[in-house]
Amino acid sequence: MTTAATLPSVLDDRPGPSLEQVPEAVLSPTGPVVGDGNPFDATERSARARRAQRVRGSRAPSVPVSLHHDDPLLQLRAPGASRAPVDPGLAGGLRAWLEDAATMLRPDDCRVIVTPDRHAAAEGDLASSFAVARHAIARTIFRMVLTGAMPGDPFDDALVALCAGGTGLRSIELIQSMSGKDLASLRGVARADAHQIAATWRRPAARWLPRTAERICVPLAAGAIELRVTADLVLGTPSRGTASVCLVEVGAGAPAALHARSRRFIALAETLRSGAPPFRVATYHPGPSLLVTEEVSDAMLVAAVEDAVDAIAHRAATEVSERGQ
Amino acid sequence: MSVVRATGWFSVAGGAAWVDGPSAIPLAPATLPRADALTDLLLGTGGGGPARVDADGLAAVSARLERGLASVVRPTRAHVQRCVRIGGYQLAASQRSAAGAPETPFRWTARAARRTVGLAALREVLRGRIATPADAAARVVSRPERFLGGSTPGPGSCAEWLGSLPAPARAAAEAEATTWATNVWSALDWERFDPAPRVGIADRWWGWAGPVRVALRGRADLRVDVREERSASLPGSETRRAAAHLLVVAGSPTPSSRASLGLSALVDALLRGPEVAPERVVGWWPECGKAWAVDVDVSALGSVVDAVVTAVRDRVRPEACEHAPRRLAQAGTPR
Repeated sequence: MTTAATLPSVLDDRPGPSLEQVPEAVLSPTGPVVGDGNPFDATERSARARRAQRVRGSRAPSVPVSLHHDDPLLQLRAPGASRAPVDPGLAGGLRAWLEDAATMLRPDDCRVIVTPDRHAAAEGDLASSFAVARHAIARTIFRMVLTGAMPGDPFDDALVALCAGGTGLRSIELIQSMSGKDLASLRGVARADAHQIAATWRRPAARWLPRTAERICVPLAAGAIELRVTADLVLGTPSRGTASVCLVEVGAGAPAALHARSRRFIALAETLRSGAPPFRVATYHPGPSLLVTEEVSDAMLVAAVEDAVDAIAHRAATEVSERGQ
Repeated sequence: MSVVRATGWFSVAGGAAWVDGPSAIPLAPATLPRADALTDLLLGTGGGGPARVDADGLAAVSARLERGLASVVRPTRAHVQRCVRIGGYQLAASQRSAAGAPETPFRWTARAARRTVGLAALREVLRGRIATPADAAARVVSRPERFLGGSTPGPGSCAEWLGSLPAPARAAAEAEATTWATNVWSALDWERFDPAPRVGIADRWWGWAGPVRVALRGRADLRVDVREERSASLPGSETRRAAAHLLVVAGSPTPSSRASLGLSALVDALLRGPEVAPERVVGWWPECGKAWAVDVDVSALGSVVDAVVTAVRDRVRPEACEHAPRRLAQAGTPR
């Protein structure tokens, strides 16, 4: 599933692959993308429902592979691995399926936002504010390292970056509300996480078109429901012919079922956004310094739709309940 | 609640892409890559010919705007020397405040600066000076005074903000701009544009001088022109015709998006006349992969005028004082 030794490493001093050597699908600045069609058209919807039905019976889910690896970028690219061709009707079929569910489940007069983080909170692994704050800082340090800025004092630098970022206000407030003991502890684990991240990752080659903290949103049911997720690292651009995008999340704690769900979720969101599925999704766990990669398959995306439908139902019920109180 | 309407949306599709709303322009039923579809929208090759605004139509729009502004801005002492600035953000904020959401004051953040830095990076890439958006964004962030407005950045400018940042915050700004510029760079087939589009040129302002001065800001990330023959009898006598504006928008489309998109066309039409106004404005939301095309006609401009008047009415309050922008055009003159 992964081969790591055949391409020059971007982490060492040797020159990386030339533009000509990099697969076209990864390089193409005008990466061809197929998108979803109009979900409100009845004819198209029925066609997509048939495609979705076909997808439901597709092959078995792929198995996550966990590897300690010197070069995570090579593991992510896996240059020897075959990449699946893009089914131009897949995204439309998945969207039709989701739209049907969203239309049925949408609550009146309120907007439902579904994110994988909220799943995680429900599982308890990210329930404590300490874990949430640690995760936010690890993601910020990850982004800094990928941008080529090695943190001096990881905790302070991450706070500075969070403040300047414009999107980390909740994390800042959370950290400010912590006790002195917790803050000291957080500073210690941030330093340990930063050490692992800096030792493992470096700035990716610019020709791979890396993007960090890329937000993906998928409005459903005329905007009443929205799936939201942020990919910590995206490599490559979507292609019409062959799956060519790799997405990475920074996971909190040790690998768990919720991370697999989160990977599925992000793969689904990217598929619906760009019309072409990614070829691989991964979760990097800074604590144990573990990279879990997973090939994206039709079956994975089907499982993701089922997860999303469950999450929409749960969130919609919660919203209705909260408004009733 | 923010509701995205089901009508009027483009989905750039494999198999087919279309809209079912009033601005429907069917795309060819083919498996189009995103870059081709967006480029088609900008070049006007995706469907039927867009409508133009003639001089009479523009005069009617201009009169409607002046009547509307005069009706919401009453001459009182409190309004003397005030200027209300209206841009796409203010139009959206007006919708949000109508929905009960509070408006937040602007401050520079990495997210707020990503467009400014990203456009500067994109220009460097398109000029062939730097190979990739990531490298270009790094260069811009390291030398903001060079790439973002001269040797002495103005107070409150993005360049000044970037120059004041410590390294971790600069990294955050660079990362945001890299993501933004890469998305735009990979979303269009740049070789099909002839002449090359103008990337991120300065905002245009149109002013109205009543009891309160009103300044409308026309902002477009990309201004696309096409060549056309000036006369069939004079081959080679080419002229540039404004074809479209592209606006890259965060998040997902909202009901106020149509007015926000149309504002850049309205300002261009009021400032420079109907023959120089774009025929189409394309909004593109990279976060959700949606694109929306608004054809510029009298009806579309009229809708923008209504949204502008509503936003001005919401802002004509004693505490909403702003300074007039320096580039404010001569008040009340359409050209």
